[in-house]
Amino acid sequence: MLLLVGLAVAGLALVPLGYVLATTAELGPKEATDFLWRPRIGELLWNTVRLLVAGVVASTVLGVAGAWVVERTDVPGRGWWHGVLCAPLAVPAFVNGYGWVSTTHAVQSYGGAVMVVTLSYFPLVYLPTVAALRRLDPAVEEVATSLGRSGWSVFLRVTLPAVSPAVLGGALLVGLHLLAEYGALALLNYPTLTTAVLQQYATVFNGPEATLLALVLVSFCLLLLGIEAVLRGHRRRARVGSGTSGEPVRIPLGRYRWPVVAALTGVAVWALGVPLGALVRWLLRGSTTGIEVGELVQASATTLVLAFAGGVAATLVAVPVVWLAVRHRGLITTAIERSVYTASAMPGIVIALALVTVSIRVVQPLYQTVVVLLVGYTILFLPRAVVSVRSTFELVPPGLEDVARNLGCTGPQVARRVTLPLVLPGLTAATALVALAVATELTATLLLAPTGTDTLATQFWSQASSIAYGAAAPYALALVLLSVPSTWLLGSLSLRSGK
Amino acid sequence: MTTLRRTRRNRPAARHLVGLAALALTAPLLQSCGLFGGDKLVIYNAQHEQLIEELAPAFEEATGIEVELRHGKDLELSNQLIQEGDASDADVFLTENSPAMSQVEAEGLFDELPSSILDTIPAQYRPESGLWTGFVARSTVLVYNTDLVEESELPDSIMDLADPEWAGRLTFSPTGADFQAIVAAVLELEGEDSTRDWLEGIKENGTVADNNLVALEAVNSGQSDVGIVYHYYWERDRAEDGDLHDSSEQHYFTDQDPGAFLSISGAGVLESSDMKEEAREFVEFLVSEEGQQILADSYALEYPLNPAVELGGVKPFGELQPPQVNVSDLDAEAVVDLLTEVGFL
Amino acid sequence: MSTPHGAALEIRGLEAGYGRTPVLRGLDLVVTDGVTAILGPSGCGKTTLLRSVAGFVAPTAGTVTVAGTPVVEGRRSVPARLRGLGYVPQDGALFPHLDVAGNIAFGLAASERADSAARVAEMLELVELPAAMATRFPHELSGGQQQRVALARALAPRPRLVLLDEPFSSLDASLREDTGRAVARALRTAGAAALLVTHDQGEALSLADQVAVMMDGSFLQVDAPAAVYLTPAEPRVASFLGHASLVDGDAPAGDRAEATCALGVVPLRTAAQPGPVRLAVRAEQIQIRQDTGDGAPAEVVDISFYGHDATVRVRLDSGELLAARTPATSVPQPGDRVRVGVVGDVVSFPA
Repeated sequence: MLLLVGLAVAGLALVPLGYVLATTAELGPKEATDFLWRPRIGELLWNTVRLLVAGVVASTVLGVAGAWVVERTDVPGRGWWHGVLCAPLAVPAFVNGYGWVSTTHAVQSYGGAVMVVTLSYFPLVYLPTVAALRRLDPAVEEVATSLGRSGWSVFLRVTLPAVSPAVLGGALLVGLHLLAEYGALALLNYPTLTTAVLQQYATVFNGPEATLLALVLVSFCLLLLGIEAVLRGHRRRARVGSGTSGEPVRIPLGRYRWPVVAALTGVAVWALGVPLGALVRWLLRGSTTGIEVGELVQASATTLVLAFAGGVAATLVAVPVVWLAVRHRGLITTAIERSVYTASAMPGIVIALALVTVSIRVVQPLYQTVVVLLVGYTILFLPRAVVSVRSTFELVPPGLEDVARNLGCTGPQVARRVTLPLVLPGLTAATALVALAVATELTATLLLAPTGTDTLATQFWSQASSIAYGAAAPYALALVLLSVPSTWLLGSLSLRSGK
Repeated sequence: MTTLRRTRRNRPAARHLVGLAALALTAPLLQSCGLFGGDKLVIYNAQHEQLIEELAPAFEEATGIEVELRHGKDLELSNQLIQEGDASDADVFLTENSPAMSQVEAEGLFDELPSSILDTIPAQYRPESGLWTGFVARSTVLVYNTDLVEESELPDSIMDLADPEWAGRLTFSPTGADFQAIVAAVLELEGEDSTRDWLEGIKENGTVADNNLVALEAVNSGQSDVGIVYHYYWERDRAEDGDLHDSSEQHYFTDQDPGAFLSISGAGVLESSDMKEEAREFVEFLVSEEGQQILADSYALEYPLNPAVELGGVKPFGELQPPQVNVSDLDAEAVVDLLTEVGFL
Repeated sequence: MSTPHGAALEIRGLEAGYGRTPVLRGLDLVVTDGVTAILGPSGCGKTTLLRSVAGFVAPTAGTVTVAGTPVVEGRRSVPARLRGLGYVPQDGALFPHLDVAGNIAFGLAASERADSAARVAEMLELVELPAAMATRFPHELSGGQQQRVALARALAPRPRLVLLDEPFSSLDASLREDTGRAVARALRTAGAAALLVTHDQGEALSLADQVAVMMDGSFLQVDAPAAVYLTPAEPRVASFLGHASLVDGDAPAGDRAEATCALGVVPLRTAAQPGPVRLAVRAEQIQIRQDTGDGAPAEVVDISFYGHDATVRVRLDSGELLAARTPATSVPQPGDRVRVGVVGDVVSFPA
């Protein structure tokens, strides 16, 4: 029974990939090549690749440098800087793009696009790196020092390799986000594969051309996953030994102290000051022209309801998948879990395109209903929910359940009296994480939202893309506020993981 | 120890259960947010959201019929209607430009409009089939930055913008339905080869903007010298005392130049609608003097097509010198093919 | 101690602290050869001492000289990487991304690193690991193997002094002894002196040539293992090293080396000043006899049976609690009435 549910979930998660492949096959190789073998596609590929490379490299450098400064030097106000370096996650990239583009047009260029996406996404590298540095036994670095290595050499030869899986994982996330990014890049007038898919959609609805571009996009995502897997290698870099990590020796910055503080301040101003400043500026100006309170309230309510429903749906679907993977480990259950993760290589736009077609052709009554939207959110954010739910299930040793059974509990009783109370906090956290992600989701919502459904993100988008910056400001503010809790949660989790 | 932990965890657990149960209570809220559709008149609207959102309440008040809007771009919604076919929820289709109307018409998805509607609008602004009607019109213009461009430099024809002297000075939005309608007119007036040459020329010369407002802003801020847009973007900004007009002016092409193209926004009732009566009422309201006056008085500044209503504050409708184009002849699909071929899409 | 010149390590008046809390209170220590163990309970400052020598903690006063080169003089100190010391932390802290060979060769000079295979093989042999292990990764090694590799890595650059920070504490008991002995042999073969920090007295006494007993940031006694054990300098050393029970007594006038206490008259190792004294009686010196025999009457409180022997706690009728180690063959029951006597002479301290 559980297995059937698991297989159904896996099937659902594979719908987008299946759709992309099926549609391409339908189109025939000749037409597909004709469409893809054009200068325009080359242009889009070149734009996508150079943004991807520069954005990932810049985010990695900034994220690792920030983590190292916060975790390994005596920079004053480390706790504060940790908060500052996490905080850009609370500003959705499209809000950041809006803040920048409404301040200066200089960002409507390749360099500007790289800068804005870097400032939006570097925390995805920073967070895992900080956590890994904190977990890393400082004795490893001390030994290297005692063997005659300078601080820089220790960092390059010991610290960096030891935290490289975390850095790599973060860089991969940045890459996947960059490939899926639409809002910020559309505002920055920087065309990529994803913005082109949206353009195709706006021009011919979900024609085969949009799907072809989506296929290219998905190939990129899979390529990134492959590169990451190869770089990571099959070696475990788990910590050896079991002693307690001590407090690391902090490198005295000496005369670099104030330049480092200045650099951190620069990052803070660039990543937070400019977008939030623009937001406040437009909010103040917008208040004179009048904010449409009714629509704001309506959009907020819709967003909250969708976010909550999406969070619950993804978490509920994640539970059987995780249960199977953790308690009934086997070939099929592992395959089910893996298939769920394929969605992480599917940008929201691809999932949305797939669901539009499938719902029109196969499940007509559901077409353009909130059900399809929630299914979209579920597929999109299932990897997140599974990771989160899994970590909480792993905290419940099977021994506990055995003990309960020994004390006379039936299966359902064990679940109700032992397992559920232990995992519920984790499930709640998973729900919250997904809910917050749903609240700021743009591309899938644009395509899948039922007629007349406006969320904060779509309302913001409708205003910002028609240069009504003042009217967009309240929605942007609401989106930022909605993102604060999850950012705070991630920030404090990354610090706790070391202890 | 285990017992202790279990009792300690039990209480929060109960609280979480209550939280989950709250989901059940949110269903009515979902309904109020419009997440579950009711029996409202569904309008697939490719016109500017703000414009129709001003008109809809007046219609609702006049008729008691509730309206639900789905927004999108012209060709997005026309293609969506075609894919949805008979199963579409849509009752009324409104566009910014006529090619999308013709596309849906060609698929046989429109129901005929009664003469009470058709007679209100002059014949040149609607197809002979009577399957849909225009309701407002917009004129193509060249907006130019007054610091960067002398009036004497301005081209006589939109076709001149493909000339080398405009290299690096032009902005336009080829992915927008507006520009696509202009291309349709050029295609109809100048033929395929000239149109392709022209598109390749302006691709060479110009910068692509995401939409007309972005193009307008690029010109006004001096990033670009001239931009191809419709008249009302600049006019609207001036009327609202916005930020996008103070360093720029508009240049209207004359003498039936393709650049003087007048694009027609269309409205039609869908064959698949189960509220045809109400849908016709909506279109009737849209072209009525009352409806047209609301449009004229709104911030939109598009030209009403009901001769009884005059639009003030902009270049008078009668002074425009648009080329003669039959609205039914504008071919959306040919335009998309051309734009794809040239590499805009 | 007599030839401080050329000593592997010489510490004079070393003080360190965190904020206003002093942790090291003026330490003096000379390490010439062999293993010197710093033995003390946790929190006594022994790790801070080791880290001060290594260069990870900045002392506030005193000097540290390694192989004749001053590395700490008051507040001036040489950076850790230039001190040329071997360092083996608690878990070995092998570089998880490098294989065994990579770990061992890590500290070699660049010229030697290029062709390090011979040195790696030599070091593996030194720490008694098979040469084939060179290509293994740290997570593929057992705890004891990891520690040996960590030592090989520390010894590879040929340091005069190796610092070992509780290197065996995470190993289980059986492995601990083998690894400890192998490490001591390797150090001796390599001719490196070592500073071993531990809280395990068995480890300190069995492996070290010199033991420094440390409490509250000071050395209580620095001496050979047998000397610290047999002639503790003060009661705290006696009770920390080997379960000595402290008993109040009285030394009579005259030069007879004996004292009177609840256990009767016991011989003293050295004569004490007349007057009240504290006597340190080791568990193995206390003999439990049948109730009919000689000795102070007592009742058995409880028993810990270890197999090879047992610890029997008794309460003398006069009130004192004593711990006795008895052979496994003659273990009484709790509640039994017994007689308690002392075998051999005991150490006395002025009360």
